[in-house]
Amino acid sequence: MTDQITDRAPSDPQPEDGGGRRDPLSMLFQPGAWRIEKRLVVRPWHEFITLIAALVAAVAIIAGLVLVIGKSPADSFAALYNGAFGTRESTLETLVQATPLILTGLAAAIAFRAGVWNIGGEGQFFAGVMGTWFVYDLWGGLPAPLLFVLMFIFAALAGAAWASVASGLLVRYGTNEILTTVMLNFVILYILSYLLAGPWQSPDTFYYQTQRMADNTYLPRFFSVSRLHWGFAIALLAALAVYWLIRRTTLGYEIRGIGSNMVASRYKGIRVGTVTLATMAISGALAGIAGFGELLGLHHRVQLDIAEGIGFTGIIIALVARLHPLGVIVAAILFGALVNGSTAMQYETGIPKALVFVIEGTTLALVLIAAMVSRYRIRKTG
Amino acid sequence: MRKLMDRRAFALVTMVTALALIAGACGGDDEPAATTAAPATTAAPATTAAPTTTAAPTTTAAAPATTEAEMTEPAEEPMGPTELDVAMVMLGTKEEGWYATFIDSVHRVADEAPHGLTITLEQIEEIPYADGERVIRDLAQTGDYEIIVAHSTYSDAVAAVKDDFPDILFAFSGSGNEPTGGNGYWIDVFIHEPAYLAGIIAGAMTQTNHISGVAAFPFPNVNGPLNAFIDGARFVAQQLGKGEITFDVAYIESWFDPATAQEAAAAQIAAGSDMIYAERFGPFAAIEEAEGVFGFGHFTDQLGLSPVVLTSAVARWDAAFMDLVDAWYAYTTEGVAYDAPMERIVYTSMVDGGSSLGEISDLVPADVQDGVAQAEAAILGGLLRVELKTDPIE
Repeated sequence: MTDQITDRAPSDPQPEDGGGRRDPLSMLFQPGAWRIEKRLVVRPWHEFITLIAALVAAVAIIAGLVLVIGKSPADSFAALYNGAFGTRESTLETLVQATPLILTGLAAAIAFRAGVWNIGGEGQFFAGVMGTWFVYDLWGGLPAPLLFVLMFIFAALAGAAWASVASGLLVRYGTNEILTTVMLNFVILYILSYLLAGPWQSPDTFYYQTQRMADNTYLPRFFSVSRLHWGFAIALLAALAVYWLIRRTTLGYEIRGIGSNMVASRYKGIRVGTVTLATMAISGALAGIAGFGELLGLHHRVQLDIAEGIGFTGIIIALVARLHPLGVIVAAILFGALVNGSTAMQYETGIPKALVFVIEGTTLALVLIAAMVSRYRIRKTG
Repeated sequence: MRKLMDRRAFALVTMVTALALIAGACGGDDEPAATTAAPATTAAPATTAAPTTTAAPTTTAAAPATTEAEMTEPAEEPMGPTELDVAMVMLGTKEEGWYATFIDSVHRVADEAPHGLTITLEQIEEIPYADGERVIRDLAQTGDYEIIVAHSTYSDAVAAVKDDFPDILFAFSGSGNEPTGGNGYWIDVFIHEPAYLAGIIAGAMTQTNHISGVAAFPFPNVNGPLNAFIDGARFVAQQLGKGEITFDVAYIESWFDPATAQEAAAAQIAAGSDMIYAERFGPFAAIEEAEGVFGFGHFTDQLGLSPVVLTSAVARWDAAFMDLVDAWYAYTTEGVAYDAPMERIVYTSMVDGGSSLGEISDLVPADVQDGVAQAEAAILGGLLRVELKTDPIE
């Protein structure tokens, strides 16, 4: 290594000197001089700085892409921002978009905390939709408050039950839950497809959809100018509840325990199987409640395409939020804004909607890289 | 193919006799002279959307009146609007047939500049059903658009938004919608007539007497052209003495899944099918790999898409869009209230401009082409009536 320096600067009178006068570029490429090593303690500000750097990098990459397709990045970001937060109505609509994402984000976050990879949020969302409709279909004539409570409970139970199929297989047979949860997303869609083509189909149409629900089952809205409904409040409460559960309860401790070291937890006496089942049930219930909110707050009719990736986006949100329940709220609003603003971006600047998926993917990739990077540091050794 | 050529003379003769027979069978109770005046009534009796007979004549009748007026109006009435900005919301991408045909129609109508209007079109792609209300409200709130066409199953969204924007004309299209009335118009086109003509080609050219369809869902809009395709093929095969034609259809349960559609077509080819009606994208890739198998395009003219395409049944929204423009113009200039019928306005036939046959491939023998041309003339002249059957094919 010192030879190299001597070659590069033969006239340098002090080639062996390790002082700051050496060419910094050449120092960087000396493994002996710099080391990448794992941090013993990761402080919050390490994570914060890397997160900001990731977001800045994401914006830079996206701006580059916008330039490549011949549009102005400034105009595009302005249109995106105005579409999401430009007016009171658009800001409220961003929250409408964030509502189900908070719940599916929480669903993913709590499962991932336990090291259980629930990729089935989308299917559990549909289970919740189906649980809600099931109650409405059978007991639609009940008084509204009772009906709401029943629909809520059945939505949560249905989501929990659907998630428990995967966790049951995992605990009993060790089946890979990533595979089963992904597969079950398809299974439930086919079940729903069958129901919508048969017993649940609206008699007014041959289309795969139910009848429109009666007005008294609509979730109340906060403002007359916006679609923002009580589902948003439910989502916020759920975030607080999950935060409390993870931080303050025994189950939460055990969830974090098996997530960070399952073997140690087992030796410590934590019943890993039970905790896994409980975690997945809670995770599925949260996604099911998202389905309840979307059906009663917005759509009022079951269709095959009312989810549109809500369950999958929840996974991204959970990861961007570093699995923190309150961070999920922020990340969900960010992604809700992205969805809401992208339409304005599309018609004001002509940027295809596909770019939104690129933005989501780029952000996720960079945030994950940042999470990894924050655990390391570069240190000068010698 | 060679065998086919040998049969050309025979086919020509039989085709002409066939058409004479059809004309004799169907033309009896119709009045050929009145066909252009009452286009919708010819197809309506068989449709599920039978009530359209009440709606269609009023709207189609309005079109010719205004096209005449358009030549004089701009000079006499300089106060009227000169620009019409249209926004179109799509479930999929603008390349898909359902949307592409509408975009083409808007451009054709725009070229004619009805009422002297400069028509612009903003296209908003890939808006899921679940997002419809938000996007349509967003567009309406900009105040930039006089007509918003939510070109799919968006009637719930339009119903939620339309009353807040009474000056805007909203439209939605296709199956699965519910009527909204007022300023929410439900439009549709059926293309069973050109599909019947395509079926004539299939019936004349099939070697295996087994033809197929690859389609989305067993919905009326889907089944209409499929049933007409098989009817056309069966009729011609019978006239040519080719015996019974068997038909099978694969519903792929998706509006856009080329891979599954390709697999379905490959399976049908393996089962002996040699003429495939591609109601969805995908089958041509499988057909190209097979010998002596041909395909038929659906909704857009797909002749250029693949060398195996013989022709296409093409949808045209010109008349539908023109009627929307007229309704908006009448509202804006004369204050004629929007009054969308509480049912679907269907442009069912080639006569009222809802559909046409696409370009025919050179691979189709000249005598078969002649036969198709005669059948087309018979349909346009009201001598041949293609029944619209919307039941699923078992």
